[in-house]
Amino acid sequence: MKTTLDMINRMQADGVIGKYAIGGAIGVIFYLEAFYTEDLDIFVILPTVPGSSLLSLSPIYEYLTEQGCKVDGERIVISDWPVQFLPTQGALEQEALDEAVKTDYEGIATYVLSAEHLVAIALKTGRAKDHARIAMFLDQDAVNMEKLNSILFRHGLVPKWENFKSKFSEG
Amino acid sequence: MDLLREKQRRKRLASLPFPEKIKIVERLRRVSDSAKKSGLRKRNIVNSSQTE
Repeated sequence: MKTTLDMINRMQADGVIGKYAIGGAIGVIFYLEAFYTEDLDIFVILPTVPGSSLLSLSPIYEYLTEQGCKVDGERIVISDWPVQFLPTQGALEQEALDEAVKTDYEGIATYVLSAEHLVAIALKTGRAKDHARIAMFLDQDAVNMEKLNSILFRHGLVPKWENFKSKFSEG
Repeated sequence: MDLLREKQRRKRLASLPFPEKIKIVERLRRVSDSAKKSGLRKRNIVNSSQTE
């Protein structure tokens, strides 16, 4: 993981990606107990090409394959870790990146989405595994409810939250 | 009581340093990979014995 994060930081320093932060299962594990996951999700801002509004992952793939990384479907394997780069789409993800938490992984600086943004994004995505992760956060009192409520309100996720809560309390 | 103990166990695991938690994930991934490979080998043996 250390080498993986170091490579992502180098890619950022070389201007291939902008701001980034760890999300998905590894983001959840930053706050909760470890569990099995296959890959590392990186939320990322891609530099825009002048005269174009299209966002492309090609520069990331080109950069990493030149470094010897192998493409595996939607993911690219960086030092044993399949990594999926998720370009930020929408205000919630943009805010999540802006408010990401800086941390240190064995001497490598990196960023992780806040617990509240991870919950909000999981709620927005809405798959069964996302709901299970939200339940884990709630069960372990690992979110600041005031901050979460404010995010949910700002991004129009209150109805989804009410729906989730009614299901969660039934279970 | 068991639920409370389980919650405390999870809290303790959650409080481990991030790199230690990632090492646990990496171990789980290695176990899963070798289980997949061994399952694949078993399936291949079954398939080859069926075609023989």
